Amino acid sequence: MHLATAILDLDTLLLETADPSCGGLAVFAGTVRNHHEGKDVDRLIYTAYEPIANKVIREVEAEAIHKFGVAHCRILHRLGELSIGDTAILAVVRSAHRAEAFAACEYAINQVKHRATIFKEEFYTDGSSAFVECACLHQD
Amino acid sequence: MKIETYGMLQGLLAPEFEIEGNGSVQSVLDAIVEKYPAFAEQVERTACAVGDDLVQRDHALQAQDILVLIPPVAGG
Repeated sequence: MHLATAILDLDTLLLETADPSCGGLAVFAGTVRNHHEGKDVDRLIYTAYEPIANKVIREVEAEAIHKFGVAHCRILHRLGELSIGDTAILAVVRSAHRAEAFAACEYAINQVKHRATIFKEEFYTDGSSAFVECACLHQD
Repeated sequence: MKIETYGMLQGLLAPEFEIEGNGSVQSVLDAIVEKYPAFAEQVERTACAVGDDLVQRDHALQAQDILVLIPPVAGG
């Protein structure tokens, strides 16, 4: 499972990836902040085209393991309406040592942000709203 | 052909609709622009998918396919 409408549970990911051979654990949590490009954010809604979003996140997990030689990489993204401070994404990477865990975690988050078919609509305190655009997937 | 849209395209077009034609992706996009002129400004920024695969503009669509229109993404 890579997409969830319920509150993201870090403990579940830590249990899933528990491994006595790993001395490095990198965790990244992306949370909803209260401002964007000078506007005050009240809340946001994440939606997704789930067939590709799930596939891409699975691929990114596998890439992180292969590219950085880490033992485990798990990513979970929240969908639905989120309030300021809510966790939008969790990435958990475990490896023998810390350096590759940090690198793989950063890679995984960046790739999901740019490749997963997830859409973020921000709602501002002035009553307006807008979709945030991070990357265009059309390449031909 | 059945079309599904996501993100900001749902407000510009509709979440789901049908359009004549089942040739290439490009020909279906052209038909959508003809029916919804406001889509012209977004079409170059729109990726297309069938199932769990992104498809290019020259991809040949089958009659039973659902063409998915994907605007710029912003996960994380």
